[in-house]
Amino acid sequence: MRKRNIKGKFKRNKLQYKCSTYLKEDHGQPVFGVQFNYHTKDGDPVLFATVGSNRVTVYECEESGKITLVQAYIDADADESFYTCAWTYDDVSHEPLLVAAGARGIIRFLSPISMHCVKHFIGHGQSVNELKFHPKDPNILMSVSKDHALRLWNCKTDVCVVIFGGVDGHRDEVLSGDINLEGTMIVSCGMDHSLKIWRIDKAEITNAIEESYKYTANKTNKTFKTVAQHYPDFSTRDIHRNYVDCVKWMGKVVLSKSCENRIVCWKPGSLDDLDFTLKPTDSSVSILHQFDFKECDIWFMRFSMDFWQRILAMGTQYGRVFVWDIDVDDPTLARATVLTHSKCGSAVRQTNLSKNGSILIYVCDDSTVWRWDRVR
Amino acid sequence: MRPKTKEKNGIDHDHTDKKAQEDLSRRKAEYEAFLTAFEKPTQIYRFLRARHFVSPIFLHRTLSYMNGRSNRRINTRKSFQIDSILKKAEAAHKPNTKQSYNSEFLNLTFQGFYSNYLTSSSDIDVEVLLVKKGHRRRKNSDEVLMEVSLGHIQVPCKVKSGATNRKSPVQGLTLSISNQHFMDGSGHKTYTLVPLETCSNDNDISSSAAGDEPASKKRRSTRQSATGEALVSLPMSTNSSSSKPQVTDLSPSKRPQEKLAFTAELTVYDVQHKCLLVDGEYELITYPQACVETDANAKTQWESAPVAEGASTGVDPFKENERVKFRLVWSKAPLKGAVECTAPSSGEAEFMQNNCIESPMTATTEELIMKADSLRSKDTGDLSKWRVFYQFLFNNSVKQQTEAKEDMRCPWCVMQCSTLYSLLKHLRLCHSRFNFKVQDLPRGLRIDVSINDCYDGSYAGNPQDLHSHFGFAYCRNGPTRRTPITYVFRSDKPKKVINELSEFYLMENEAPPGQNLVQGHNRLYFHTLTSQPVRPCEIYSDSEDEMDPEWLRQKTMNMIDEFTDVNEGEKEVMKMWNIHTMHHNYVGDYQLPIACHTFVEEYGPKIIQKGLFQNFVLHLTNLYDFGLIRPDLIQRTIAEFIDLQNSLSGSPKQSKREAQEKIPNKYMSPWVKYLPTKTEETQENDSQFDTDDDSQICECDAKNGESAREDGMESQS
Repeated sequence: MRKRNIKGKFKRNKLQYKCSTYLKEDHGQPVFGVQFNYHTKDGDPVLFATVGSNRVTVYECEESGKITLVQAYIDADADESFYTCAWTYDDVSHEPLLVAAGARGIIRFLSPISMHCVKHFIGHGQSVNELKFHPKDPNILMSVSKDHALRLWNCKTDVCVVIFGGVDGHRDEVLSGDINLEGTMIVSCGMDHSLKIWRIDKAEITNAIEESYKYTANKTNKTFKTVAQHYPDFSTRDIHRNYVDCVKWMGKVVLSKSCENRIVCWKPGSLDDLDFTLKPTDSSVSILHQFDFKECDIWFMRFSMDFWQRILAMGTQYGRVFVWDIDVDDPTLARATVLTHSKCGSAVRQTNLSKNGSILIYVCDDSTVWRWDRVR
Repeated sequence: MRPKTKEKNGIDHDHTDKKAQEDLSRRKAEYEAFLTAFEKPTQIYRFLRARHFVSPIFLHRTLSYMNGRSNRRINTRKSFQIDSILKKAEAAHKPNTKQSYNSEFLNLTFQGFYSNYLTSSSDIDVEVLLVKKGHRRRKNSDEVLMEVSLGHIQVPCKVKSGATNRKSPVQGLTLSISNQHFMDGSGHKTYTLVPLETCSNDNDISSSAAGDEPASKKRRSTRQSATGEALVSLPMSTNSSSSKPQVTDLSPSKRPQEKLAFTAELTVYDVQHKCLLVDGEYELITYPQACVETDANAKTQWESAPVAEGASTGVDPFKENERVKFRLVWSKAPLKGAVECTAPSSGEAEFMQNNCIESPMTATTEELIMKADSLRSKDTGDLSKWRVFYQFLFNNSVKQQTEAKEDMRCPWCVMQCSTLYSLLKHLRLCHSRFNFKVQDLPRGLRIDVSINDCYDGSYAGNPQDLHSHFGFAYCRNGPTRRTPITYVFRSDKPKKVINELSEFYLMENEAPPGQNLVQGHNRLYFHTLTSQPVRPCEIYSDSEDEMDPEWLRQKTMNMIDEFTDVNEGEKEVMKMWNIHTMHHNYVGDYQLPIACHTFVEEYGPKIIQKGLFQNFVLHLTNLYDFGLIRPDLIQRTIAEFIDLQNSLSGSPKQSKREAQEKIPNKYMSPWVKYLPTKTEETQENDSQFDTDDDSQICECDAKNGESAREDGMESQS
């Protein structure tokens, strides 16, 4: 260790994890998604949910390093395969809500309190690939679908507020999407190799969201007028040359990955342009950094960051997980730690970090769920 | 429901006690399991029964296999003729005549008049009056009161001491009243008998008696009846002036001033024409006759009646008051020696009386069912007399045997099925959580009941009901809009369904497949944009039929913006023109004149505002160049434009001609060489134009555009 420091070749990485436990779900199908519930306070039980096959399972991470099963839901349809889930809360009762969706394109709302499916949204023509909640409004849900479109839903009044897609929208499955922390922009990516940015602070959309809160289906005979957004405010195909299967905002820059063994950190426009004057005609991008890793050339592999966006974790095809400490001044200084375990050899579909980054959970194709705890 | 229950717990006593005990405990446990297994469906069906009672989803009598419960007869349909409706309606308007009464004659045999106050016990003249009170449908109309005297009878008076001067002679004291008195004309009427006793005794009557309420021993529910007929009698007693005996004006000659009159009331028929009197001994409390004021203006109104006064004070009104005692008998013929009062000789009434058929309408449904049941049971070999056993099976062994009563009631929902077939069909269809299988027994039937393990409780109806009526379906707050659903009916030759018990001898799934008709088709509509289900209330509002959706307009504009060989002003006009033609859906060259006209109307102000007049003129000439419009159209359109310009700038309106003349020469000059000299030549002959050209695409020569732009700049300055 001291040698390394002296050598300087491998700077000692402070970020170290050790494997605490792992478990295997009995369905034998790949587990596609894992999400920690970030809507908690310190001292609350650390809950996370996994989705795979027609199951949605809620686990609790105990202090001792164990994982305990809390709840498990099975969809009535055996053909359902859940791809993604997201946590939110009821803004009145503050009860947590778990939302899951997958192959059938039905977005299901599960209440861990009342322990049943509270409601469901139908409307997506094909499977839903990702779900995200608006960072400022727990009632606004974004869903990303195989039907080439993204949707914004109001979970309070159960209406579809906006549909992003159409003439200039994605030309193939949308695989991932993310809303920035300010709630002003959505970035989406998909099988058409493109990344698109949609502003949601336009008057048209903010009005529609406002209207959606006033809408009550029982009292009116009119349909809610869903806004159709055919034209993204920015679109590029210059970043990746393959399916873009994961994208995330990090402040004003975007992290996205394809099956090219790298996560690209980029921003639209030139580097000097900090105001985000997006022009549909201008598709210039500037790439800031690339996080390179190995053995990941299959698609539908998701990376993740912790709540404070200090740690980045990405799984690979053969069960290895790359973890970067990105809480550094210069992204080029970010060093990767590789987590390996002898028993973990199948593709890591998604990683997820607890709110403070102390626990890393990742899920694999062999329906295993792994827990790693940070070594301080 | 299960009167006899015998457990089959035959314990073998040959074995040792221990073994027997084990056996017993095992059997007990098994029996417990049986009970719990049967408890759940039974509870569910009990709940469903209660719910059906409160708000039925369907009616049993409309089910095809529940013939016994249906009280409409199909037989009449064959002979039904449209003209018979009137006759029926007319007949319905004579409700009185249709009623079947107990008998033809009402016989009143008076036994005596009991009084506390009269000292002498001489005979009293009793006049029986019949008060017919007509009820109007509307509240504000006056009621019609009619009194008919039925006859006089001398009744012995019995004083308090009990000494009578005669030994209750019955002969000659009977009054027979013909039934026809109670039927006349139309309308709702109350018939009330009023025995009016008059005695010549001038003994004073304590005024306290006057305030007492008339109560009766045998009067049946006249006070409680919902109609107001009982009210008529009340004012008589509550009137304080009634303490002074008064004489009715009906027969003033008969009653001198000192005579006392007592009266009572007895309602024979109430408004619904229900007979309230049955045979028996009656004792009526009489009270001094008040003056019968039939004030024409007096409206019926509720008065507080101290009904329970007598009861609360503990005084028996029967001991305090004068009362008249008589026996009431309905009979076919007038009693011998009775004073017969002749019926009003109404030909129609007689006819009706002769042809009076006992109508089933008055009978209650349940009675009817029983009647029908008995009829049918005769046909089917008196099945209802059979013994029906329910044998409850669990784990292939008989756990309990229960004998049902003779009536064909469903043991779970206590529904009278009236026939065995209906019962079995009902059991199979409505209680499908159980399996039912019928076995023959000598003089009876055994129904094997077991738990249906294959019960499928999933929803098999229309998906529309699930999606669209969530929270609305079967709304109790009133009717709600439902989705129009097309039901598919198969019009085969109706197969005669033979209701045979044989189908129940097999298990349900072994039974021959019945007519498993799919009711309706499962059609659900979706919005084109959101692909969400269309709610029934939205079905007629189609928002997706517009010609120029927002995105298409945007796309057009974006594409024009991408042109590099036209200037900005031209792009603006092209955008406006394209959106205009798209919005109005102009598809042919022949529509260009109207397109130009509406374009000036709609976009004129915008063109003026943006100073794009030159570009517009250039566009028109382009249209001419491509042979799409005639030159005079250019002139006309420009004239319209200038007209608009003037009206906007506030200058007085000019005629088209003047406006045309006002076109500056500068603009006119470049085209003069193109224009034909005769502009009057305006005959529309569209065929000469080339129709292949797409009018929506305007292509501009870069050079022309450039010059037009310069011109535009000039005109602005």
